[in-house]
Amino acid sequence: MTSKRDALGLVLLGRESFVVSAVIILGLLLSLVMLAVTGADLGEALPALLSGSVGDARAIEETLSQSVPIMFVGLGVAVGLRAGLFNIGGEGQIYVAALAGIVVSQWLPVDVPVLAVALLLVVGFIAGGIWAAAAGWMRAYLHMNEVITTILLNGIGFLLASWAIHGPLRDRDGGGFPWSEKIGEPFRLPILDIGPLTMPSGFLLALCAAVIVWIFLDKTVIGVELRTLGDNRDAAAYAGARVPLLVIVAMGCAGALAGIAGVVELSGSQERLSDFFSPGYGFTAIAVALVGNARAGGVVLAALFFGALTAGASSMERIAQVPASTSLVAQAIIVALLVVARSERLGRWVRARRQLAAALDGQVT
Amino acid sequence: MGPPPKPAPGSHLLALADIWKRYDATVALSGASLEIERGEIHALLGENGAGKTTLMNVLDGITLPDSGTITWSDTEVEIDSPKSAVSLGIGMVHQHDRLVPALTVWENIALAVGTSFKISRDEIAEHLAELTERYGGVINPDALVSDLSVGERQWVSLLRALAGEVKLLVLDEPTSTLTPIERDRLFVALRHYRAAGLSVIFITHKLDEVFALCDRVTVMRGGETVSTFDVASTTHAQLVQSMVGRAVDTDFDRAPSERGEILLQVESLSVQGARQTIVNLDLEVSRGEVVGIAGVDGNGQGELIEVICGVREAAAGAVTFGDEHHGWHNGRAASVARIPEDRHRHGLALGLPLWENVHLGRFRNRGLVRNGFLNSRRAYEASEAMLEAFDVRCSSPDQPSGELSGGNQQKAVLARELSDDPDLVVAMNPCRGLDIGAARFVLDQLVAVRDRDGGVLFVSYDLDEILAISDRILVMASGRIAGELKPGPDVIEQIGLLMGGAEIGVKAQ
Repeated sequence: MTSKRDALGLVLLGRESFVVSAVIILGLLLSLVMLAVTGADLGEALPALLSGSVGDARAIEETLSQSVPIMFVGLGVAVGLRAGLFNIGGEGQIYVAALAGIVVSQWLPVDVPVLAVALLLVVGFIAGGIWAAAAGWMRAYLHMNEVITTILLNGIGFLLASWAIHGPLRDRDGGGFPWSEKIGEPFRLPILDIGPLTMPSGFLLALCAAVIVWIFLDKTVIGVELRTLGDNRDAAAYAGARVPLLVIVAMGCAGALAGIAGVVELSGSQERLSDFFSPGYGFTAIAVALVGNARAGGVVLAALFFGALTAGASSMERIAQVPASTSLVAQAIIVALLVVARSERLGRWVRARRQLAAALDGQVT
Repeated sequence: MGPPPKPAPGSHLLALADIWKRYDATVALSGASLEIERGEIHALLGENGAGKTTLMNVLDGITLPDSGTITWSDTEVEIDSPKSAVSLGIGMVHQHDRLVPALTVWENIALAVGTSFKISRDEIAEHLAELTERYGGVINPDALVSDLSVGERQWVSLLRALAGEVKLLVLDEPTSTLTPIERDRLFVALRHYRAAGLSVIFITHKLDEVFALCDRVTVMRGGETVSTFDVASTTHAQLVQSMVGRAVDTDFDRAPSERGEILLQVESLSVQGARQTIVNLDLEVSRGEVVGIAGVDGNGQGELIEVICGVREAAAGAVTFGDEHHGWHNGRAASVARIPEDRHRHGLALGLPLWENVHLGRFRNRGLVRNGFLNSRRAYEASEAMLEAFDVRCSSPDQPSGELSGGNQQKAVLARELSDDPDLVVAMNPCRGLDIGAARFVLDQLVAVRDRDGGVLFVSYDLDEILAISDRILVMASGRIAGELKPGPDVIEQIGLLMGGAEIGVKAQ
């Protein structure tokens, strides 16, 4: 009876995707209402939104490119969530990793492109990982809430990067802007041509990361231990898991993925570090992980959706003069609705209604 | 307020009659009754979960009963909020004090008595001075509650409960956090209140406190008030029996067995627990025996088992599993099974599927791991066999363990712990919440471990279970082994004495 197992898996998946789809549709509709109320011309704005996100090859590349950093960071947030930890520190981890990437690329000017990019990825992995593992260590041994420590480390990480590009790493030929020099040519990730479309190679890396995260969480012992930790910390300890170590590992993984987001953004998109390097990827990624239900596949889809929203919104601003921050409002509405939809109380209410309905059916027949 | 007064027999201050309270699937109170006279100290005795606190929450208006009547001074009343309890003259001192640590003593008192918008420090302080004069104690009204010791905080709680016109004082396990000196001071004060005509309900699970302080005692078990005794004419054994008795099929066929090599040795163990401190405890478990630990809940059994299972730090002493060459240093080998007291807290990850839960912590021992990767197919198939062998009723191994009934959850824990033919089993209340048949199944499993020359350390609050399967019985009281007994027909009396704090065959402190 293996079909039973599959059926249950599908049922669970089905219910969750239904909830998320319903929430997204409702959230977008509410956002449209808001746009209409504020006097935007929907007849102009909607086509602009679509053409800017999926209208042509350029739009699709922009959507993919926008989804790369939030997919990496979102995967990290998801690993943390599955272990019962909340990584709010993606932003700081991105900046620290990008800073480390710039520094290493200037110290070790590797000429072979593949090696250079691999080095950059390793540096980002380690820098982001250490930055978040520090919060994990404080959680495990000093009992400091990781929500607070990662938020505080955001400030430290950002200001560290900012200091570096205003000071020692400032590009002297940068036209007076406080930013770093461009990263060396071999360190850059190429744009791939696939048939009629173009795709940032970072997107392929992000998909690989999603597969690795899925295997890590579902197919390894440490993954089971992390999920046990997330479900019931006491049971994990009782079963012999080294809880402090697991907490550090989970936070480290979360930060490492955010760190990779930082170096991929550096090498595949912006090429230099500035004060505006991340427009809040670390926070958007939290929404991505929540909408993706902290599952690797879910995070990929959610990141694509949010990437399309961002890409579409900027074209909406260009063409229809609707502020691009509308997409942030839509994201916020969706997350708020999702939190309500998943809330314990609502679930109980729905179950109670269903039981009532079933009881009434029973009386009728 | 309730229906018109109706004449009641006798002149009880308070009578609770036939109180029922159900939560979804569990019955917290099933027909509990309690009568309190004027000017008596009445003990409410029972295990954790017997319904003592629920019954007192009914009295305090925190919990509304499904049915039953409350009569106060011969008038039937309805208590629907703590406020109405206070207005009747009922003062509550909860087990964990409900003071606000960031406020001063007088501010906390003001929260209880203040009715107007404006509060005056001097008025409250004056009131507090009157209270201390009447009820004893020295308290600085301007001290911050967070600066007070546990005993002082309890005293403030007591004074706060007495601040109104109190006729009945309810104390929920007041001594659990007190030092012996603070306890004695509390007892002196309570006797003094009794002399002044106040009634006291004293909730406890400690027998010696009943005998030291109380006039009458009502025993609760499983949501029922079993019986009420005059303390002067009852015995430890009588109270123990009505607290813990449960009809278990005690007819076990056990092959005679020899004690073999030592599997578990606990030496000079001292533990600082939340509820009970363990001092200098020794015990050992050998092959071929079931060592039962009897005792009333909260005398250090939980702390002892947590240390043995590696989830609590010992202050001093050593726990050794087997010989060095067993490699059991941490007690996590396949040959050590650990059945935790609280299956929800320690036993299962309720959100994870059963097939993962029955391997928790044991994937490696069972060869289900290669290079860190799980062989999920084999783990899944193994789980199907285990769930069937232990008769766990589930829709499939994919079902989250949280969706199972309590008995089936416990069987899932047993499936995990007992499937590897362990040499040593450490089990704490493994039959808790199970019906008679399931309990019998669990006990059979433990006896089977002993019969194939394993060792079992078995903690239970249920004396009948202990008597049914133990080869040796240790009685724990106040964090110490009060005595060791062999099972026999007249052993219950002795166990009762030991549980109550008497000492037999143990050197005096």
